[in-house]
Amino acid sequence: MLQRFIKLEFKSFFRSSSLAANIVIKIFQLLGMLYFLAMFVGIAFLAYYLPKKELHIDPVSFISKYLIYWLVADLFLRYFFQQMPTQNIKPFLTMNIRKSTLVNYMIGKTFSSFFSWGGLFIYIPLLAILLYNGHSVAGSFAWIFAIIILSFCSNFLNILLNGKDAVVWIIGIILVVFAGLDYYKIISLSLFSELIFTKFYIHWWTIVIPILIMLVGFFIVKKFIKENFYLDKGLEMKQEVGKTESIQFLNKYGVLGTFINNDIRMIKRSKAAKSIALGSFLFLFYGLLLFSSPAYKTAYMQLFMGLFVTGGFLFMFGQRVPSFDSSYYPLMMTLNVPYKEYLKAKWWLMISAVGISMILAVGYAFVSWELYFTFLAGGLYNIGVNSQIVLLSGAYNKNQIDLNARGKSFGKKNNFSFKSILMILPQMVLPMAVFGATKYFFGTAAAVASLAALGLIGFLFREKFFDFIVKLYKKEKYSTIKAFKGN
Amino acid sequence: MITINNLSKVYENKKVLSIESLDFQKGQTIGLVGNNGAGKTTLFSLILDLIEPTSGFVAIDNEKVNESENWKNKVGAFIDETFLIGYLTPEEYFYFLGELRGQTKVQVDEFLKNFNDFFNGEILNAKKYIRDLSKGNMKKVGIIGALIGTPQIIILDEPFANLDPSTQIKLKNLIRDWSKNSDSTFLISSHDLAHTTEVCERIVVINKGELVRDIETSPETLRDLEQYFADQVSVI
Repeated sequence: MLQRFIKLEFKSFFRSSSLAANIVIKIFQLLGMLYFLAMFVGIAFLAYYLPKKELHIDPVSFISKYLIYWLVADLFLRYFFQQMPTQNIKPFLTMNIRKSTLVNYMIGKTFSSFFSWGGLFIYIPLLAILLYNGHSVAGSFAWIFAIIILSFCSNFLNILLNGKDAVVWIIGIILVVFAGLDYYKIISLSLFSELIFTKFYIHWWTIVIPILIMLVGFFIVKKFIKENFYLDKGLEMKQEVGKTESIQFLNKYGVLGTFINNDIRMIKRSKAAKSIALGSFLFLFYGLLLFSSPAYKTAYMQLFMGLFVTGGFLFMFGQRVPSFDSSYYPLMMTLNVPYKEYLKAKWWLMISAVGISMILAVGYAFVSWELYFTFLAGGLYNIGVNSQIVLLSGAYNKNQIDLNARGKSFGKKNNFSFKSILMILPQMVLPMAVFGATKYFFGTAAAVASLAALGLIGFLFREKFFDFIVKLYKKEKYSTIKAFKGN
Repeated sequence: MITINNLSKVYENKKVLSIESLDFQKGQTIGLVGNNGAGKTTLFSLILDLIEPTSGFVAIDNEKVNESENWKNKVGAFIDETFLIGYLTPEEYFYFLGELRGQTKVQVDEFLKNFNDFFNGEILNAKKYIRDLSKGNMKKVGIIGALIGTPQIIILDEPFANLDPSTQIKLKNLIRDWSKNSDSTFLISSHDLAHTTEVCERIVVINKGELVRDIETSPETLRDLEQYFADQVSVI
């Protein structure tokens, strides 16, 4: 059974119309994944040696303190990014396969997700470090496995919560409130967390409790999925109530305003677009990696971070510009759509997002004003130059996005092509070089000014640039329509 | 109005369409009939400049569609679901099309009032996004969308497919009334000979990419066409 499923997956990959690009993407994904895994191992080391060497506390109780936060954050991330493998199960429903086989397959598939096994790259090294440092063997095993098992429980919980946005937000808000209370030492959730989790270490046999929770969780989930194994229940998410709405003041700007309104509706209503918007929000926190490695102390690496901190939405959304409209591209091509207005609408949306990010990034001023100014410089370059380059690379973007799919399609389809990889040069390398060099010779103020100047030049020439992109779009029209039609 | 000259489309040595010359006049209602794979949708896609012709051209008001874009002001089309925007409500979709065809919201609302019966109360104010509508209702949205702003040319691919019997009758009445009361040119493709002969003044039959009949509709047309397709079967 399983091998037949795997065979189908292979076929869908190798028979895709964008095979060559897919292979390159897989390689990049693999590299990216390796990078993440290496970082995870790094986290394990950090989690152990930071408290031990710097704070002189027992790492086990230190980590235990924050485990509750960690597990809830894990659930949160899963909820918004982990894809439920419901879509490809549909064709099998009417075949001669036992329902319980399908249910098991589905549960099994959630464990094959990166969100389930990626964490092991933190936990297992941590276990090795514990044993290496002479911690109690039974205690270490029990403690680590308790964490692993509980993260599996969070996987089950995620399945049960699927589609219940409100509940997840409430959990998130409660957690933030508790974090606040914790910080001001009013109610200490971390002490409670420490009390519970260190128990697993002290009395190894308490591991029975998480195991029991997991078993119970498994049966509940199995029952839940089985009950909801119908097209109008769990396999298809609930239909949202449609609401006719628009942002009034945008209507004053004619076609441009209409396009912006449509894009905002898309981001609000389509799961695929929504998860991309949320993902780009997370980029705001990319700057926190500053603390992870001395490599980020250099001027050009800080600018690199600044480009992403302020440009998360710009890059995530911008490089998918025609793709987002792929499901109705033929309509757009037969309507009297002025290309330039269409592009401008996207452009306005993106630079507004950059502007907002630049304001929100003010939090980094707590680290240092110099860092914040560096990020501002990145933001200015994003507004003036990158906003247009990203649209340019979009002209070659031929990957369709199925907006109507209600599944979470984050990370399912990738939107890189060779040309968009090439575009990284002007997007990243050029500003990094200019900023790094100017700062080295003339100091931060001059460096910020140099990028602001580049941004201004780009901004002033934007009309010319748009004309150029429009020409490209027209040239690529037929092949884009064709590519958007089939996968 | 629409001129087709020496038009052909070849996919890897396989000729899917080859039409020497064909003219559609203003105000006509034309039915395009043919089997699956006859080239109906290919012809529509060429008229709408969605695919590139291998040779020849399509011109609307003497302007080639792949050179000038003026035709976009004149044409309303519904070919398939790629002409719908799934995440919008039907109203938002209609307003969007209206905006691009120079209509205000009020005008669109006024226009939509004519179709309350056609929509059967399932589309306007239904609190649903287009993606959540049934196939039949999607089709209704698409068809009415193509009519918004009274374009001079209206192109509908298989409008009768997927519609329930009552709606098919309503659609036939709609097309007949519309073509009587306006000078829009209708271009409709269909497998259904009865529907097509009922509403169209002119029938164009294509088979394996070639034009085989081009006739004015008369009381005998339906019988003729049925005979023609029956002969096709017996030849094989």
